[in-house]
Amino acid sequence: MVINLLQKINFPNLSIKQRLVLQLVIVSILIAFSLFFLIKNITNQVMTTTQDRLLTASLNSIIDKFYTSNKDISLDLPYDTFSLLGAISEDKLFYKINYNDKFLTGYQKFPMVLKYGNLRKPIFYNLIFENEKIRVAAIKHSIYVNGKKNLLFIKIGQTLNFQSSISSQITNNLLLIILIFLVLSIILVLLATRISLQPITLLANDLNKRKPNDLTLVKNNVPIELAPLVLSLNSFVKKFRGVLRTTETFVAEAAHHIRTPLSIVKSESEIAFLKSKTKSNREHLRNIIRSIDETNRYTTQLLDNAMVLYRLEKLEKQNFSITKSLVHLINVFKPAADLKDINFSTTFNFKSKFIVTDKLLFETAIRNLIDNSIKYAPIETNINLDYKFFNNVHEIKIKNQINKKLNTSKSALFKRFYRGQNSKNIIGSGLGLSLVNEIILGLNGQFKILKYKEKEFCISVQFFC
Amino acid sequence: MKTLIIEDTKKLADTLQKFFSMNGNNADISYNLEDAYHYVEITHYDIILLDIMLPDGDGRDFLQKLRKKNNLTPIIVMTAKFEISDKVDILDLGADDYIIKPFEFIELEARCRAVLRRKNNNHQHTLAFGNVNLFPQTATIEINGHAQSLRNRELRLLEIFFNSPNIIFSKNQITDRIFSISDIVSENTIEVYVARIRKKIEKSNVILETMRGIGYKLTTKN
Repeated sequence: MVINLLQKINFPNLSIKQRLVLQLVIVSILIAFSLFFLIKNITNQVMTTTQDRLLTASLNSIIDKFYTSNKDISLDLPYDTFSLLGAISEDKLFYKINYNDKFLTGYQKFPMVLKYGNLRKPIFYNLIFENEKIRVAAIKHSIYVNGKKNLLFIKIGQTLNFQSSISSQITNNLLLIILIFLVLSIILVLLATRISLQPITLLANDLNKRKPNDLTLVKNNVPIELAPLVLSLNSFVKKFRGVLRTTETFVAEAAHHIRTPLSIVKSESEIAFLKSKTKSNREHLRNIIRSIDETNRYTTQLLDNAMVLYRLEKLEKQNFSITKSLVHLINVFKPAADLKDINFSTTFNFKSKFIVTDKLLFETAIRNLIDNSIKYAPIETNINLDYKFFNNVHEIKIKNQINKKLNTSKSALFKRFYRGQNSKNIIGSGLGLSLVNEIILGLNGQFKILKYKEKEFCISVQFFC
Repeated sequence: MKTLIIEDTKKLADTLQKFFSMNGNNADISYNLEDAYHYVEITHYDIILLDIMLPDGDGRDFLQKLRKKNNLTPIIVMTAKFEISDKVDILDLGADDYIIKPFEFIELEARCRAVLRRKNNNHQHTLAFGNVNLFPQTATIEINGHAQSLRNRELRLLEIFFNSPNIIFSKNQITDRIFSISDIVSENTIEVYVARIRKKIEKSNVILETMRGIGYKLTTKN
């Protein structure tokens, strides 16, 4: 019944530990109360039996003090026995003796009873007399006077003061014992729960400590009940690692297999272009090369996109110098910028500062932004890369001039495949800014376009420590 | 300039070789690492163009081994998969630069020049014609002890003429050498650069002469 009751109680918001503790505490309380009532009941029974025996003994004493002569009977009341009964806890003693239905001695008002027992088996019952609860023993006893049978009806009652006093003492002691039992059992419940749930707690802590990109197998020793869960978790991790590995290989292979033939087509076309003398041939070849560049740009951006999606699933954070990385990226792009006589200037408010993030994604984002700024900046202009560290924020601003004001909304610039009005004759895919936005958001950063409506374009990228 | 091209894609390697030859440079091709080790042991190269994925190994191993042997030949890594899974920065392994396929020859040339400029920083290479000295590393010209700085395209233009004085270069040839093929370049653009150069060398005994209908040539004033 208790098990059914516990099963029916639903604790939707409680942890397994809390549920277990609560259930065990409820069981402990139930056991404690059951024990309390059981012991109290037994004690009451023992006391009642004791009192009944004393009353029986008193009846015996009374009977013993009856004397018969030829005609009469005489009774020498056993006051010593009465005083003994009354002495305990100042209990009052009542008695009434009738001789053949005639009141003989005692309390005349003592109520009549319907049933009487005998000396071997008196009748016991409780009644209220003179506002006191009393225990009464009643017997009917036959005596012979002159060979004639006469009946003695004897009732003797005792108040229950002693019993009540003992009962209340026992109740108090019992309550104390039960309370100690409860406290001890709660402590034991907590200890037992903690020990029993330790493998689960360790597993939970271990899983909590894991970072989203942690794809190592769970190696905790767990109870057999949890083994299938850990087993399926580990097999999921293995499968996921496999999928990621396949994706990585696929993206890398795709990049290689797409770019290599593109390189051949492009280099062959360039050679043909350089050797070509006629204007129309040169124009045709130039168009082919531009198309190859467009294709290459789309391919690169799409592969970048695939790489970013893959990489965001398993960020590989590392501590690296953000300033060194920015300088490195500028150096990488310098030859490309030189082709347009574009100058790079930098303003760093810290010469050296470190950041903890995924370096590959960070550099992919910044590379895209620098590449964009070189593409859209007019020749012989300046690109400024500004780095600031303040209030635990790394902020990178890239400023460049643009040929034409952009009459569009900022959100449109983040749309995939959207290209601004200034993109005419500039090879691009329209994926760059959306990709950068995705990366920065994935790295918990912030990407803003600060200026775009003047002939200046300025973006800001923020990473939070 | 002597170049070693380590590239397993035959057609790409061959076109690269053609490009270097067209510019008056020598280039050897190695289609695998084994041959590449052999080439670098017997010949001195000014620059090495290295592919990563080669049939008999990883280009990064070649790079590391070369640097361990104290061979400091400038190396530019050509890769198609750089961004995806290269966890070790190839620049940390000793590469001087990298270029992602497909690339433009003009960009490759610019990177080669930049790398060589960095490597030869202490060894100033000078081109001289008439009373003009051209310092490609510092992008300056000096006339009678007076130095002037040059923009990149001005430098490229002067390099072309200083390397082949008295040779006529057509507008197309100049455009091909200093602009990306996919750039839309108007005919006036070259004239703008030529005008700038003329202004910078006007106090010298050298002129950039217009050969009407043909092109330009660098020559001395009579």
